[in-house]
Amino acid sequence: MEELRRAPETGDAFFDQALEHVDSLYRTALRLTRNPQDAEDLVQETYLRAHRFRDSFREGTNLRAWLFRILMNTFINEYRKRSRQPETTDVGDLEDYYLFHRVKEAGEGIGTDPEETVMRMFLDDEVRRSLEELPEHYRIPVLLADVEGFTYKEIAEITGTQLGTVMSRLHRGRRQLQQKLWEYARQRGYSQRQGRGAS
Amino acid sequence: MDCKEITYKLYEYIDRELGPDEVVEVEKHLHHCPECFELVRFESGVIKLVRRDCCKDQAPDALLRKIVSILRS
Repeated sequence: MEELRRAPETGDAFFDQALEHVDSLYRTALRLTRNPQDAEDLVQETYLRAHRFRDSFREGTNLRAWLFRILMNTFINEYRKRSRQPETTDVGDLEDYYLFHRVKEAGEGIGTDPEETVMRMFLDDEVRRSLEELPEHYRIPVLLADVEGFTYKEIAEITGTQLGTVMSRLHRGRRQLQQKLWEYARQRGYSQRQGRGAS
Repeated sequence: MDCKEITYKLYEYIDRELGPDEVVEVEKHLHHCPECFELVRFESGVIKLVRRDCCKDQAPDALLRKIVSILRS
């Protein structure tokens, strides 16, 4: 998600371009650290390093991915060690397309517009909490792909992992995210509201 | 491509990671298979939901000011 926002001028075209990504970096930092103060510190440190290492940026390459790589390295090397939040646990293997199958089993109508149905199923807070509850190695590729729209190859570069690892973590991460979303929906009594028994 | 192969390729299709030939194959199947079509739409919906709900946070102004002063130094 590229965004252009009220970025104040730094008097330097490179830094002005770097500033355009501040919201993307901040919301990623927020989901990584799960704490607004740590997220601010992480983003500030990212820009400090971008300033210090600007010569290592190769003109014509992807500035946004370069900034995300700095953010991710800073997070892994500096912040994870002193995380205030407990680490999450992996729930193990889950069925593919978990949510779709649970909704179907519960006898919920998917409707004529499945996209619209799923978008209406959850509250904002449930999505953010589900994402923050994912183990880091799943949360990172899901954030980078689903929220920030990076390609698999870009994610591999940002996180310093193999393409195959990115794919399997992204797909497993989505499955776990769906399992958590379904738990929230159930707690709210979603399946009882319109349930017609298993189809 | 049959339904089973589609379920393996589904995320790569949604994420636009397939080559043009595979996209044609997937779409040929989706055109004739309402079940897989429904699944694709549902899964794209989940991804859009995550994007919509997680894109709302903006960097606080105080942070922006601090960063600008770092970059100007």
